[in-house]
Amino acid sequence: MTETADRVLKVMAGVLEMPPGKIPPDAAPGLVETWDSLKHMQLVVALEDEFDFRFTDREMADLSNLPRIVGIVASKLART
Amino acid sequence: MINPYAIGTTIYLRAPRREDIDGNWYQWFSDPDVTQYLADRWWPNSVDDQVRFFETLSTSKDRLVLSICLVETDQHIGVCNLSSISWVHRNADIALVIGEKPFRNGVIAVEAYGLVLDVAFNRLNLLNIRSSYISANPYTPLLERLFGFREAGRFKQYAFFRGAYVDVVWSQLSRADWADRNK
Repeated sequence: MTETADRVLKVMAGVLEMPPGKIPPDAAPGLVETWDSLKHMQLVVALEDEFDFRFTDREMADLSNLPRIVGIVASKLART
Repeated sequence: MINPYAIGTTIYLRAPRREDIDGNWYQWFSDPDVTQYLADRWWPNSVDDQVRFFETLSTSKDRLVLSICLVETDQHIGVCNLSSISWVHRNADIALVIGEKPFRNGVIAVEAYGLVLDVAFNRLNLLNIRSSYISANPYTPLLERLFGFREAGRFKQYAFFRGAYVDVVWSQLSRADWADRNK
């Protein structure tokens, strides 16, 4: 696992209140019971705080599962 | 997609159709789970009420109501609007309701909000978007934090909610702030 993916997973684990090891690689709302509407928005806020950037509207619309989140975060970090 | 007006990844926005009333649209506004944080939904909604509302839409010049539909299936899952549009001052109020419960997961709301804001700033050429919500609402402050809204003020103990009076928060997003975050 990359360092970015590891940081995303830790943020997600904190927001979803579950151990990182219990989060499936394809985690998404509907697949993870605690990932509801409120948690989703808390997760996006927590990711912005963790990585110290702001998502664009288009990027936020694509934050729909763990692999996409890791991909978008990695892409943003590569551009900064 | 049927008559798409704004197209996203999972959803698209289109003008409401008369057939939408035959679905669940009118029932969303009677459902306490859906309406609990809305300002003016204390009366049950009905098909007749919804028809009357629908018939005002095609002639309204200060309110744009859009149905939220799934790209994949065209299912009508919610509604959003820009209302109180001032063509002089170039501002409007924003509102969003995801009525179908399986899609109330945050992902759809975030995408829909982004699409409505794009319509407001890039197509209608508005300069400011205003929002208001009761302070007991846990969702809207987070959503607005993500989109860069700034709190403009609040009316203290102004709205009745579950047996108590709570604040009503007013917030604002300028086109400049929105463009800066999306560059």
